[in-house]
Amino acid sequence: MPENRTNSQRLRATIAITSGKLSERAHEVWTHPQFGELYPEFLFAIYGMIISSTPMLHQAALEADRLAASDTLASQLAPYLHIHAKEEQGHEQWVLNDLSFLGFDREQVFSRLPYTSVSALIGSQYYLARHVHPVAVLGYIAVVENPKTPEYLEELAVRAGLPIESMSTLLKHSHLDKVHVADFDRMLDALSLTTRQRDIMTASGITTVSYLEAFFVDVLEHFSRSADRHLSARIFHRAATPSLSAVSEVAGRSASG
Amino acid sequence: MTNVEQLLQAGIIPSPNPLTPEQLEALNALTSVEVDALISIHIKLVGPFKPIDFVGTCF
Repeated sequence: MPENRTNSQRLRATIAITSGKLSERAHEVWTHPQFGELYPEFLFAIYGMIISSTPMLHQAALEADRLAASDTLASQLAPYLHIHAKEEQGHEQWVLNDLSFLGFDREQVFSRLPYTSVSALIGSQYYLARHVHPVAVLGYIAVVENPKTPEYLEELAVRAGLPIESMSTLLKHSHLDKVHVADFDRMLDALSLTTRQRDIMTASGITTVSYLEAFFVDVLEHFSRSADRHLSARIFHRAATPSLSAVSEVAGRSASG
Repeated sequence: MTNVEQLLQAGIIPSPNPLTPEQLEALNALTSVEVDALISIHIKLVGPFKPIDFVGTCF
């Protein structure tokens, strides 16, 4: 294996080797025959990630600030992390708007606990950033910022019978994250990392791959239970579900403008 | 013991080994900390796998 690879090439190659199962699970979600029905659950899962990842990135930036006086890498990372945390700020509103367009009230989102996979995914990054080194979050970013193309999403909307207006979160990220990935690679390749620093980043990426695979499994499992009223008391139901009159009411209000 | 031998022993690489020679070479280039991370989080390595497959996995 050539050792003249850049930091980003090496990190992405390691992520790629370890992402086979994650890719399989993600593929099951993206190509699900009932994607239109599953999509609100997927958005709920994404909301849990987005609402917590921005403060986590901000915390990592603050940790880099704290270390900066005696740690060259932390001083180099801090500006990037502050900017990136700010770039991601407020995106949870996009998810809520998409759900609202589909007839799901934001109170329904707030009343549910996030998946354990989401708390493990984001919680592990808080831990690594605070108790190991904030360079860890670069492994997380490299895994999660990996969007579908706008063309794929537009085709998906047609295939699943979803209004394109309900896919604003995914579409905006498909445009934004292309720029973010280029910025990320440029920043990472300019860093001079020790083996230990690189190990922290890669181990974090591997951790992220594993918890993200669990995230997609959670989406599939929660959706599979949604047909069982007893098991799915707190899982999203379609707006047409008779027992959820409040949902229908919201859907009705949306439809009437 | 090579990285691949450790990963086989830990069940991270399933038997029969589905990975390509390129993947095995890449695994042998990992550091011991990276190998420990794979083992401790029980990631299962599957193959054949092309890096391009990962593009667009997330959001």
